[in-house]
Parts: sequence; structure tokens; C-alpha cells
Amino acid sequence: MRCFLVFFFLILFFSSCEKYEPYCPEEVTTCEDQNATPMNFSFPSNFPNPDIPIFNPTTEEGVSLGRHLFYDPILSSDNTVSCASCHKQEYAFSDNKEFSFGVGGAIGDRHAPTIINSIFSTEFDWDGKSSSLEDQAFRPILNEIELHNNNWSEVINRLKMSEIYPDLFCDAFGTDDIDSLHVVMAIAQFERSIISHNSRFDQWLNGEIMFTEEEIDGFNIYATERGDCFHCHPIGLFTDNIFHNNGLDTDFQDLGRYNVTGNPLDQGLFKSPTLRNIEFSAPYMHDGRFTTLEEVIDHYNSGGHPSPTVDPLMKYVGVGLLLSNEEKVNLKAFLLTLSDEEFLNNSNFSNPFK
Amino acid sequence: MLKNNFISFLFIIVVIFCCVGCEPDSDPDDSYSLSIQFNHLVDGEEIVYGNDNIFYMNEFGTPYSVRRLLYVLSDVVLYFEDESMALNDFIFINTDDAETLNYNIENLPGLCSGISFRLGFSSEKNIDNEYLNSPNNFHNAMVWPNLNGTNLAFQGGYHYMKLEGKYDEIFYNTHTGPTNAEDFSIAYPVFDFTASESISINMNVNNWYNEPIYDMNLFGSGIMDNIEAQIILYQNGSDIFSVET
Repeated sequence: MRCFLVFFFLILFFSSCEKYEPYCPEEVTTCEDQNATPMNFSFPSNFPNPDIPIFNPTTEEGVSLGRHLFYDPILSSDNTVSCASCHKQEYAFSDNKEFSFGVGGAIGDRHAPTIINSIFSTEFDWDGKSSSLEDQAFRPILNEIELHNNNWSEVINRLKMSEIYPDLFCDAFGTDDIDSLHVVMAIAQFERSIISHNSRFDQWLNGEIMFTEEEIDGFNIYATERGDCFHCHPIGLFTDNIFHNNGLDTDFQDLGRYNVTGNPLDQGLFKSPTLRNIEFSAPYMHDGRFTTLEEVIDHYNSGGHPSPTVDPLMKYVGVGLLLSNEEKVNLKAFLLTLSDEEFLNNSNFSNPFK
Repeated sequence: MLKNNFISFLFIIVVIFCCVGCEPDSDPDDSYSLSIQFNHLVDGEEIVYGNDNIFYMNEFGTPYSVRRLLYVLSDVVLYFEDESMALNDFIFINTDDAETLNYNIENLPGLCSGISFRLGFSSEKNIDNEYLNSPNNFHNAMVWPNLNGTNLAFQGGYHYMKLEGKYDEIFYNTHTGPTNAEDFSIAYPVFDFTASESISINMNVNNWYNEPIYDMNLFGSGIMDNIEAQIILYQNGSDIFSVET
């Protein structure tokens, strides 16, 4: 049967062409295909293979276009807000505000999550409602408290009218027929390029530098059940990409993962963020309630608050880890080794309009 | 034009010959499969997951709930009438991920009538970062810390099992793995069954805490560097599984 179908379609194929060419070419693009240059990433051996969709391979031109779009307020309805308004390089691509501001000063209801090493994730946003970076990039464009556009047409019109974007789209995708899909594809490509892997911790693992005694003790607290940070933030990416209730509240104002799954066991669960560059991504948690790392450590050291869905990995709810002051200092010392100065100052990730 | 028609004709003839030479659509009688369903029970009843939903009673008399259970089966060997076949892949079960609760194996040489496996990885296979790219987020969910020589109790690899929940008002994390670099994985002998294409592998969770008795109050919430706790769990683990068709 399968063979018969192959035969049938072959006959149809031949009969549909005026000439017996391998295919019937009809160019629909108005610019030359620029053969965008594939981009290869380097990362340590303790990182997994990146998750890049087949339909959107990462290229140098695509990343360049995405970087422009990421930093350009042209994507907002009043030309005031961009992706980078909430995801700032100097703050580890998070925001230093508890809640970020959108168009007209509208305030969001969750802290802007860092987008570092998103290339290794498969679920995005604090509650995992986006299944790809492309899917995620769609959301803020029409969100009324973020970029506040009424529809995609007005966004596309602004891009088509600009002096730079038709050429950048042509370079990246071989078309100047700009559409929403290519906009989010480019942004996703840029976000996939935002990789941090050269912290002092990485250098120590590679034998390039020595840790202090405090940092070594902090690492031992982190990566054993003394501090038990590693279960949700395993060494490598420093996130397990899983959703947890880490005992922030007894009663939930934000149901988190439950809003996506409807599973009662998911009430109050949020995705573990990476701890890479945690020094710079304050304030912390999905609602930005903690302003310092000391407050975060104190939260875990006191055990957090009980609730029906608190994660069993929060072993000592109501009791706490009972770390001494010295241990808390050492744990923080270790967390600071996850800062990646090269990444934070990497001009490839900075604002291309400056 | 005539030349093009001739080339097309030749091409079609070649395609017809290819089709004649094609193997026929696979005959279901020539291929067997095995579907494995994983069940997790206490006293014969499927566990109701949640911190506070149901409290089960272990032999020590400690009531406990089960929030989640994750484990890995490796060295899986299937047995047939005249031969056996080792699987290349390990099987990861995560009760939070329904996709992992069924495992299907295709293209078997016959009806399967036995299975053996190991809970966890043997030392030879429990290698740091070896399974970084395995599906279902296995690596992140099961990685065992490697403290880079600063703490010899933790030398990397993967958990064998994570069984978590609450006892009394305290959380327990029954995490088994290569504690102090010692191998506590459990190799099970062959489970024989009536030849079938569908089996259930059942874990009786209560048996983790019986014979010898495991006292949650004594061992506390975290046991990843507690050799004594790991030894008792290793001993108890010998009878946790049953297989039925």
C-alpha cells in the first residue's frame, strides 16, 4: 500500500510540472537568501546538549537581529519599553526591581526571571506556561502590562517602517517580509546565545584557581544535606528545571504552577531559577520578596512555612537547617563564586544601540 | 521532450521494481512487544500521593505519607523461551511524570516470560554526568553530588531512588545512592511469568521500612551520607518488587 502511494504521488508530481525539473521553483521572497551563518556554542562538559528547535536554528545573523529586537523599545506600543527593560545584563538578565514596569508605568505581578542559560530549558516562566522560548517571546508583545500592543499588525508595521529591520530580517531569514513568527524566532535565538559558564566556580572545577577555606566549606554545605541546596539547584546549570514549593507561604496569593496544570499538588510551586550570577539578580523569589542573599539563606535556615504542597526537600519546615552564622557566611561565599564577570560584561549581550 | 519522457518512464520503472522489492508491511505475527506498567503500592493499594493525603503505617509503627517516588532500573534483561536480550537503556520512573509510568519495548524475538533488573546503577555505570542528555529530565532529577574531592562521601553519579513524604509532621527523604562511593544498587534475580506482551512491575513501598526495621525517627530526614541507613535500605530492598501479568 505504501509503495503504491509513492508511485501515485510520483506520477502526480511529474504531470504537474511543465518541465521535468526536480521541483517547481517560485521565489516569494523579495530579498536574496543570505545563507545565514550557523552559530556554534561552547559550554562545559557538565552542561547538557542545548535544546534548539529544528525550525529555528541559531545563526549569527538571527542572534544579531534578536539582540536588536531585545533592546529596541520599538516593540512596545509607545516606544518606551523593551525586553531589556525587565531583563538587564547588569542584573544577570533579571531586574533589580521587585516587579518590573511596563508601558505607562503598569506594574507586573511577578519578578522578572533571569533568562541565563535558557537554551538548556524546556519550560519557561516561573510557572512553566511557555513550552519554548519562541512561545515565551510571543506573550509580552500583547500583554497589557508589558509591551501593551493591541495586535501584531501594529508591531510589524513599525518594524517594516524602520530603517534597519528590513535588512536585518533579510540577513537573518532571507526575507524582508517581516512577520510575528520571525520576530519571536529572532528574539529566541538571541536568548539562546545568553550562556554563562565561566564563573569562579567553573574555574575552580577546572583547576584554574583555588577556593578559600570559606568557599570550600560553603560548597560542602551547598552540595550536601547540611544546606541541601543541590537538590533543586544541582551543580552544572544550578537549576533542576523543576517546580517546587519552597515554603514561602502557608496561604498562596499566587498559585504558580497550578495555574498551568490544574493539579492541586502544584499549588504554590514555581520553577527553580539558576543560581548562576545570583549575586546580581536580586531581589529573589518569584515575587522578589527577599532583597539580599542573607535573607534568602535565613529563609531556608529557618525552615520556611508549612503548607499542603510544601516540597519534602524542604526537610526542616518550621525547624530550619540550624546553620551557624559562620556556616551561613560560608554558604554565601560559595554562592558568590557563581558570578561570571566575563558574562556580565560580554559585549555580545549588550545594547547594540549604545 | 521525448528524451525527458523516456527518462521519466525509466524512473517510474525503477520505482516499480523498488516497490516490488520492498519488504511487505510488517506482519504483526513476526514481531513482539512488551508493555511494562509500574505500580507503587502499600498493602496492595495504589499509593495516593500527597504530603497529607493518606498516612501509611510501617512495621515500626511510624505513619508516613508519600509525596513522590523516583527511581532508575538498569541492567534490564528480558527472557524468552530460548534466549535473552539485554536492554541498552535504563528505565527512569517518576511518579510526578505519568509518561514514565509505562515503558514499551518493541521488536522482540518472542513473547517475554521473564525479566531481571537492577535498582540504580552499578558502580561501573554510575558515572558522573554520564546521563546528562537522558530524557524526562533524568539528570537534573537524579544527580548525586560530586564535591570535587572536598568531601569523599559524595563522588558524583546518580541517586538510585528518591522516596519522599512526611512522617509525623516531619519530612523524610529516603534517598539511596552510592554513599561514600560504596555501591548499594540492588540486582534482582529473574522474575518469571507467563509469557505475555504486558506486565506490571509493582513496588511494595512499605517493604523499604520492614525486615530489618527502619526507624525514620532514628535516621531523620536526610540519609545521603548515612551508611547505616543505606545498608538497612539495601537489605530491605530485596523484596520490594513483584512482577505479574
